[in-house]
Amino acid sequence: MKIFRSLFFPLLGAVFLLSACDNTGGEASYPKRAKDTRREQYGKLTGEGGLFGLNRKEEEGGGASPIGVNSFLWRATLDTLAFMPLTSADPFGGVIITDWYEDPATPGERFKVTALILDKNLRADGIKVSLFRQKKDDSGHWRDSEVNASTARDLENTILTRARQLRVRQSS
Amino acid sequence: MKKFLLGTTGLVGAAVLFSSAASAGETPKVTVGGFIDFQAGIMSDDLDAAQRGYGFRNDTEVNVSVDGKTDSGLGYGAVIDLEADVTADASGQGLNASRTYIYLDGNWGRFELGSNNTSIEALKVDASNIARGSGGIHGGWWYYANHPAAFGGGAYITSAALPQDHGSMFVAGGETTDNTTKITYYSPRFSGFQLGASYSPDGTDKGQTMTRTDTGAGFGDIFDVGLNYENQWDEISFSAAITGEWGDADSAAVENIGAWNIGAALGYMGFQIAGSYGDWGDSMMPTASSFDSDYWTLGASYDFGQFGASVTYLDSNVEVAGGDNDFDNLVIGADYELAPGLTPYIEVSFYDFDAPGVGVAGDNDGDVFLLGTLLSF
Repeated sequence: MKIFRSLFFPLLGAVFLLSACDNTGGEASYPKRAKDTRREQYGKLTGEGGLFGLNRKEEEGGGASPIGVNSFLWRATLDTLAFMPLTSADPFGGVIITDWYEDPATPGERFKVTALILDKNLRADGIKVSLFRQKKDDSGHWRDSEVNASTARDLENTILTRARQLRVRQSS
Repeated sequence: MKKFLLGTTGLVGAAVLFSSAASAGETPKVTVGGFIDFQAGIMSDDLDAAQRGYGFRNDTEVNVSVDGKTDSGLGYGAVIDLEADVTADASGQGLNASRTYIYLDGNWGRFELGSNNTSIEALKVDASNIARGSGGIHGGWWYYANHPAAFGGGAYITSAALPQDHGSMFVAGGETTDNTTKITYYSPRFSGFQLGASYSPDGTDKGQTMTRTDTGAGFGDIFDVGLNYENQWDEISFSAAITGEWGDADSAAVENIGAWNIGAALGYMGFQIAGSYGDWGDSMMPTASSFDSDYWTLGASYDFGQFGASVTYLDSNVEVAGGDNDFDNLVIGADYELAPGLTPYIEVSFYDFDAPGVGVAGDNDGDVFLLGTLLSF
């Protein structure tokens, strides 16, 4: 019994470390106690979601997606740019182009974004965002203006974070 | 330049705000469910002189589960099984809740932390796994049967379980030692195989109770380890498991726990057969004795659409001075799913407690007929 005691906690630690690697190849389905399994075979009056239906599984989005590029990046880009008006969104080529957008907080300055989704896989270099900026001059004409390079990068990162959230949610 | 900075920051800020608003669904989900089980029983046995031969029983639970997932893919949540009965359960399970635990899971496995069943209870395979009605040999029969121990009789194994899940051998259906506070780990399932292990520091600590007593009648440092295999080939399903339990006796006069169980089930087109053998060895017996105990189960079931029926059988032997305390129980049950979650059932149990010697006061031979309705929501 002593040997169990001395092995148990190092073993627990090792398993926690394992949590760092994601590709163990096993199927992450875990058993329920026998009583629950027996009761569940008869179903539930309220369906799988239980009484308040808060746990109903969202429709699976992956599989045979008609979109020509990574669907998580596609949806994440649309989500992220949804506050700007869109002029064009091509799911086959993976091109999303917004219209000019003037932030009410900074009048006299407007932006336009072109997002290219480059890959079928969800990867960090699968998204390219180009940002265009114009300022109104004294005569009331819009003139092209310089863009801070990190702004486009920040937008890309926001899109990637959102894509990862979508993927995690679908795999749950 | 200042205005430029303000503008671009605003743009990214808006993007972040918008996308985080869209991901608000990531907060943990709370699900409420439960069941109500009503039973009417008609029973008779050798020890029921001056007892009524019928009775009703009502069992209710409300289950709350919390399920969440972090951005990095770590699953987390909790399970709370609230006992919603009008009175405490005769089995000695918790008054407010029978199980409460937190879990963490991912592709690396699953941890369950709290007052919970052992890992082997979930991994084991025996005849009770395929039982219909109220649960066959693990069903409601024992609420209606007289255990000989209350009449001067001895110890019996009355369910197909290893010591912690079985509970006291002097009552049937005891739930005083399952659901102790423990840590459980399940591995993911690899090619059909799944491993599980639990550890409880004490054999009776549950919920807020934490004892340090390491002497007396109890058990401590209890390990449960189980290996389960499951597979399906077209219409044929197969599952098997080997489980074991070890624990230290607090008293030197009592043997440590060392028990194992092996079982398998085979299914084909709605038919299933299952069987198991469990050996408690000399677990919990007086050190001075050389008494052993064991049990075996056998069962068959048929599932046809909304209708299900099963026959399950348990036979156990507990060695005592002068022979064996032999227990056997044959349970035949059937149920019909009227609507999802609404299932009436009937069940009849023929049981026999048999102590060594002829005409012993602690013998009991009887039967229980149950008519019930289970409502799950």
